[in-house]
Amino acid sequence: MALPISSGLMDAIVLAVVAREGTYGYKITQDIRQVVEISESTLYPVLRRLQKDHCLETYDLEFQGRNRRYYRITPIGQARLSSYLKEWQEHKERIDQILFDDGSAQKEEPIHE
Amino acid sequence: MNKKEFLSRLRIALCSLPEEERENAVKYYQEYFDEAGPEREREIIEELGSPEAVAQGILQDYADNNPQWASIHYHTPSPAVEEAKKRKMPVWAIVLVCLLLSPLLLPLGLIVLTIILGAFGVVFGLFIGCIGLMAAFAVTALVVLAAGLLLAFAGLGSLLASPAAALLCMGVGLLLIGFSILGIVAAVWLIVTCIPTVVRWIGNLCRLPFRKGGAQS
Repeated sequence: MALPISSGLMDAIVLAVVAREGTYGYKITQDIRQVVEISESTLYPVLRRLQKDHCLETYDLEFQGRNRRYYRITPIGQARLSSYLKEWQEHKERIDQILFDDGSAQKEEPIHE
Repeated sequence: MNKKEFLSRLRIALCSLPEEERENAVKYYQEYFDEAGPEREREIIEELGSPEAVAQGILQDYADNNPQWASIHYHTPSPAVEEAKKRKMPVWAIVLVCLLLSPLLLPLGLIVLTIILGAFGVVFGLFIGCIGLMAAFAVTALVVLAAGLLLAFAGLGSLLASPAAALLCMGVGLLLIGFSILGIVAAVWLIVTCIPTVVRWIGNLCRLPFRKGGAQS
């Protein structure tokens, strides 16, 4: 099944990763790639956009004689992440319901086996 | 391509971006290479693809979020437009080429036209000839039939007077009748099967130049 990551979902993933701890671009990419295949060039536009939307802010730290730009989540970013998480949860439940024909609380008749 | 080349090409490909944006992007990838370490430099370059492609992603995203900048600096190359531009020559160029070549084209064109007409003439002539042959054939068959009938009846008439001669007459007459019937059947068969086939051949011949042109486009 082709399961591309939509841009909205990508935003949510990046926000979630950054929310855990302040982190830098290379590490964010590697963390995400542990779980889902993205191209190495996917991340930068997302980071830039989230930064422009004030969901992330950057700070520079020196590391081994060179500069590392870190990202951390802002309160606005936190709020957006919460709403994304809620959306995802609902979406996931609906898809699961139709894929697995889950007997959920919404069904009126109990299933006799 | 090495890291330095990649970054410099990236910077160039991002030249339409405001300076701060451009430097941020280049800095990001500079750090990316630094983190990965020199051992992974080749691998990263392969993965990233061309710096121009990476730039395209960045430009596209920036354009999506900055319509004013986009209207000045960013034009999406739609694949269809590029294809169309590449394939067709502008009309004026085609006309110009035709004009320049016309001294050569005209006589050549006339020659080709004459040959085609000639070919048609030959084919048509052959066709008429065939019809003529068949007609002659049919007529001959009818004449032979008539002769045969005449002889047969003549022989019948003088059967009592001179039986041997009469029998000979009738025999020949019947033979002729038989041949003529064969001939008529053959002629009818020819007309019914051959003429439609020939007509179809001529039709295909005429359609050939048009079909070839259609298949190419």
